[in-house]
Amino acid sequence: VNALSNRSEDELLAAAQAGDRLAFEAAISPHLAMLLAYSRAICGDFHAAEDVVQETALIAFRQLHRLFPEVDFATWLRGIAKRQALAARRRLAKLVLIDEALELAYADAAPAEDRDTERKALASCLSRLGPRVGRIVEQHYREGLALAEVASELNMSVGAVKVAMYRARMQLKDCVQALLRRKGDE
Amino acid sequence: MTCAEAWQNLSNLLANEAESAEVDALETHLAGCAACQELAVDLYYQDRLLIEELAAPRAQRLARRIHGRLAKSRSRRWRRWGVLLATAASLLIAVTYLLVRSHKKDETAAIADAQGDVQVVDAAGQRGAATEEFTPGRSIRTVGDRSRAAVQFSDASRFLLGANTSLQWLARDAEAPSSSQAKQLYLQAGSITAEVAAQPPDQPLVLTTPHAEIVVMGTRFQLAASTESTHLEVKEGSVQFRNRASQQMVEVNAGGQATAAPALDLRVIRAESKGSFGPGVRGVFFAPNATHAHALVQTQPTEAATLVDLGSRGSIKLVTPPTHLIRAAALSRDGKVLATGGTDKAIYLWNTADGAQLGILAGHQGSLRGLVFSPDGKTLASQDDAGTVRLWDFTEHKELGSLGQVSVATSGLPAFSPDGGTLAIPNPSARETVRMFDVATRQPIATLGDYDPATRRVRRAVCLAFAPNGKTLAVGVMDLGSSPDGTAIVPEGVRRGVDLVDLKSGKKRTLFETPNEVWSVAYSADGTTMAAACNNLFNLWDVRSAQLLAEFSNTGIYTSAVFSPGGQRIAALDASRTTIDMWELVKP
Repeated sequence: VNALSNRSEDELLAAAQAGDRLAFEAAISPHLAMLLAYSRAICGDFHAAEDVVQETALIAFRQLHRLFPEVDFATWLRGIAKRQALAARRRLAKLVLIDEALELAYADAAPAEDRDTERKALASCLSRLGPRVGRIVEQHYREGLALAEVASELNMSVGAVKVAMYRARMQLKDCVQALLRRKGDE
Repeated sequence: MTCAEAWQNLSNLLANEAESAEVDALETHLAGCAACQELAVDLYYQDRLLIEELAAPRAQRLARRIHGRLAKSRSRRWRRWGVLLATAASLLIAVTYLLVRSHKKDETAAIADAQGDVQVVDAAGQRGAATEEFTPGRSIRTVGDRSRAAVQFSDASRFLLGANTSLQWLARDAEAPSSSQAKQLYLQAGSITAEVAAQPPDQPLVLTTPHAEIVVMGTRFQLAASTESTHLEVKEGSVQFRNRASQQMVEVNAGGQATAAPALDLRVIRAESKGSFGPGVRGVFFAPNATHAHALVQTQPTEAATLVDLGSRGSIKLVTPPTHLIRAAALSRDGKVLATGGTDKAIYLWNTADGAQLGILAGHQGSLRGLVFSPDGKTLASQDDAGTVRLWDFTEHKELGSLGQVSVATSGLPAFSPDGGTLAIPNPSARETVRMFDVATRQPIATLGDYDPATRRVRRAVCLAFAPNGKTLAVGVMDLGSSPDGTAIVPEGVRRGVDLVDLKSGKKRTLFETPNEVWSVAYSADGTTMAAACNNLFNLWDVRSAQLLAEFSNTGIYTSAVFSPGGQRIAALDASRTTIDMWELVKP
């Protein structure tokens, strides 16, 4: 595994195309969290998204011969995941503008280091959410609970959880922007 | 809707808690609010980072699941190593052979590349390895799913043989006239991709299959032959394609496809030049006696829609209100009335001659998802996101009645029988495939297919089309496999395809199966050809012989297909890019 982790994605994919399953697993592994987020954004819940990502991995391994060198691996994986996820939620295929927002959010225009910085800022902001709102975000994103389940756990109404989640998103957005701005000023 | 309401809706959508109407309202709001579009990207990005940050254990568990699933195919990996070693050995031998051979003879071809089990068989049936010369009278066979071979002729023509392919170089007749001294090959089965160098004017390359004869002067094409049919796809130049059974012959040009089989009329299907139109297309129609399609275009909900004649490129403006983001549209059978249904739950009727608004049909409680005019020109059926179907007298602008919530929200659109007397509704409940209603009484008259308790399978209809003679109903189906205890749906068991149901006997036969979603099916006017929009693939099938006539692909999602009244043109809507692609169908 250590030997694999030292190899570049291109090297891993070349080995995977020759049938090396472990090399494929090492190549896809850094993209799994992104694929999970992307698939969940389309098909709604974590369980369905996990099935989509697993199926995506199997299809990708079978069809590696179709991955041409000029194609970005992550983009290619998202294309497969999208077809699988849309099958579960086909009406979203007609929502042009929402789909555009989704694609832009995953297009990775910024360098990976910037994303790491943003992720750290987000982690810091998460700790600043109030205990109740923090639990809602944690239970939804970490535990994969639907908002109705979160509401039941916390003895709240679903409507109240929806509003709390909305406020948490806005608070996190403002907080992350402030932290990044401060870092930029430094 | 205010921006704050849009943000709340977006937050709900991200949590999978948004109602369908909320999503539609959000989409409409985004179209007119650049700031909210930016916020939508930000929140999707935040959602992504939250999952990447908080759901890391989930991703690790997923990695273990994938590891387990891939491990099951481990044996395949060892087979692949075997094939690789064999390939390397074959390549080494082939290269050595090519180096040793200093002078190519006209009557030989070199096996420039071989993967897997590749055999050269002489006229007596003696098998040799891929190192043998390929000469007239001999055959090359690729055996096994992973076998491949590349054959290079001395005139630089190159043939790539796919898996399980048998290609024979027919021996020349010494006494035959020079005109028959052309290179003659016989593709018994399998597939080839050929790049044929320019042949002498009187000596074209002749390639025969069990069903077809192809005469080539120099071009690039793909050919696939099976025991049932031969399928040709021309990439460059043109080739003559003859059906051996009927002796019909057609010329197939670049971008064209044709299929030959017993009892199959030859048809060439080619992508029409400048065949794409869009984006912003919400519907595509053919008016009666029209050869060119009309496209309904609305790029922004706040902008007026236009009806564009794709022949003359002339357009008619429809002054749609800002709230009317068009989600469904249909053209009446006489081509005079266009109906549009939107996220504002209203149906607008338009005069196609001058774009004048003829009336508004109100009553739906959800966004409109589908509109269908009856072939007898009397009735309009409408379906909303909640699955409620209503019938309208569109000339009098009044509702005839509601069939109620008779379709689950994820299923396809209703279809009228050719006489307009029956309306078929797909997927009316979890245990029915299709329910038929008498349009006059609005009462159910029949149910097709149902839940099979033995296999615990729920058969879903995703789209419907009546044959022009009204005797057959084409049903796009999706069978959902269920877990052994019947409590959960499992992806492994999903089966998709199109069944043809004889409405008199109830018997059904499968026209085709596909791994893709079948979004829409349409019969040609003569009922011989069926167009199927299946995600990124657009297929044409011969209904009688169940032969695939053509398959075109793009990167979007084809969701609907329409034939021109004469059946020569086909237009398909790509809903993900809101564009139209078009094809022309030519009979000899």
